[in-house]
Amino acid sequence: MVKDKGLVHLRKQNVKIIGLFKAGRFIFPLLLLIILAILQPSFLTMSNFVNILRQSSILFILAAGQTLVILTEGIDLSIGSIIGFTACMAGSLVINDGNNVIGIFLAIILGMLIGLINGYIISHIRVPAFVTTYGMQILIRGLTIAFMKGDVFWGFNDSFRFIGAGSIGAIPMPIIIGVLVLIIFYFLLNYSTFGQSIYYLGNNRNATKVSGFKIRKIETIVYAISGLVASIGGLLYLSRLNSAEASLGTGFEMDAIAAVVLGGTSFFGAEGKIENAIIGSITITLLKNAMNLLGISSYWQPFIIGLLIVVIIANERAFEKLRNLILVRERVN
Amino acid sequence: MRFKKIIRTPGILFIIILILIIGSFISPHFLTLSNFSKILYQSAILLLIASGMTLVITLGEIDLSPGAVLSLSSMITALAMEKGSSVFLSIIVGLATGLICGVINALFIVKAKVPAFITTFGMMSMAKGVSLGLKDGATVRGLNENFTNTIGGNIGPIPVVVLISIFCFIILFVLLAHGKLGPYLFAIGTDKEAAEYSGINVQLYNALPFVITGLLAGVAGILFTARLNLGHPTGGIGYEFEAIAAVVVGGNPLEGGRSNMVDTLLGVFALSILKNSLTMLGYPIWWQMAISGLVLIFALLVPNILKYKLIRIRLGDKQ
Repeated sequence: MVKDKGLVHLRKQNVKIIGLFKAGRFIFPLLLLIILAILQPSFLTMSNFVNILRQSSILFILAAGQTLVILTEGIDLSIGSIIGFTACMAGSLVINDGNNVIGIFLAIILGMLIGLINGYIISHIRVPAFVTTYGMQILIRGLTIAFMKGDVFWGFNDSFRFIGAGSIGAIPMPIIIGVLVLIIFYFLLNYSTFGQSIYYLGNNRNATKVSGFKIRKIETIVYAISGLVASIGGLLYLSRLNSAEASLGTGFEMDAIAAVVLGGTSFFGAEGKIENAIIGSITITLLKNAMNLLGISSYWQPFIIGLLIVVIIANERAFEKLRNLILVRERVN
Repeated sequence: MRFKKIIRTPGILFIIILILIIGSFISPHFLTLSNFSKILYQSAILLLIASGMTLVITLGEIDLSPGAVLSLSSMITALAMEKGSSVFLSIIVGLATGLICGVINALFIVKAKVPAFITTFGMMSMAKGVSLGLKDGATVRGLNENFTNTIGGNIGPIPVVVLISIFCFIILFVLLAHGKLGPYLFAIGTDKEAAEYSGINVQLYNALPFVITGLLAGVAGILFTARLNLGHPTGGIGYEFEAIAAVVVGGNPLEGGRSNMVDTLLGVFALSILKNSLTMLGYPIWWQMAISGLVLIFALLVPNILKYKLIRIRLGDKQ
């Protein structure tokens, strides 16, 4: 069969253009940036960008852990409660004993432990992740309320406040920690056997098992990492907020999931990168900023966020379909 | 052999029996008729949402929106009544709200091929936004007395809320067990492509569970409004997770392909009597939360451990 080379070339270009349109998740934050810049000329300053990065870095840290979990085709609904629990524990230690190091250490260990329990139940006993982490969410929140008994810890010492509200030079601490998390997760996912096995696990559980990976161990570690990262995010949040109460972190898991999904990581596992979580968390932060600037009441804000999530993903799916159609036609030719 | 038989009975039955035994020891009022009618009354709304959710979970999908749709329907019904429309019209408006939300969900999932989790996540957020935004987060009071008296009232000894919820449950039970719907949903939940090749209208049957769940959330919203005598913008939040938990705790697999309405009923019943007995114990709310979380995990943990033991026994037999 004689190929019409010109036509094929054109079609390949089409695929590229469509690929560009498909990337609505890049275009949308840019659009938001432009709107914000028009609304408020002072928006386009370096300090403001740093500010937005600072706001989105905590969300990114949570979303990074959630990305790993979602890559294995799981979900972690417990991170909001883990944040509350570990932050309150650390808060009480810091306030009552003035011991920052032990407080932070305990929070991180506790977060990891809760994640380990999640992971063990999910991977070894095969209780669905959704139910396990939902049960854990209720359980841990109950324990947090029991522990706090309605108290509020506030007014932390300066060195504790430094990790969330301080900065080294011009760069705030949350950004530094966020970048550290990004680097570690990037190398973990792209350059380690463990990272590869996460993708394999999300793609095909049985095949991964048969290939000799210890899937139970991998899955357990993934949930442990999610818990650990959540507790780090919680500490940063606590330090910035400067007060700890039992309801701290409620609903954060939903924000993190929204950030992961908006970034384009597939919900069916094995498809997505850690970079997607950055785009997702920055988009959500920008969106919230823009809505506040536009004076949209906080009651209507969830409506717009929900609408945009659905529309952006629908748009992406539509272009994906179009691209596949063209690719299939090309193959037929 | 005997071991196998024990495992085949749904694990939730053991938990229900356990709660019943412990509850009857703790309080003399636990095993009374009046307490059970109270439990039924409290679980009516959960039952409605859980029975819709069962259909969705049969597909291997999840619907996160019914809780928020419930609140939206509650707000819109109450607002319609506040604006002076008749009871009948307000109920229709409330039902339509749920139906429209369900149809939008279904359209996005079936036509735009957006994953159900994301669509319903977005719908949850949207419905929450609208129901909060309608009255700036305030509740709507001053409902028509006819409305609260009929739907919030009793027929004989049984509350109307319970009757409506059981009526919806029975319809869905019959549909799932005796109609085309059940086998088709099982087929799609097991293997979508195979279902399509065998001539099932996959798009239609993929959409139906979401539409039904939306409609049931609308019904639940109306019942909720009648029960509380006000339109509540955030009252339904959390029902979706509770419903999913009830369905799964009852023994329906989250991966889909198989489901049983009776299991869902058992799951709802178990969660409700658990809550009721914990309240009777007089435990503070945090212990109630902690224990419910534990029971949720253990309800699936124990049967799974037993299942693995069974597999090991079988393997041992073969060797």
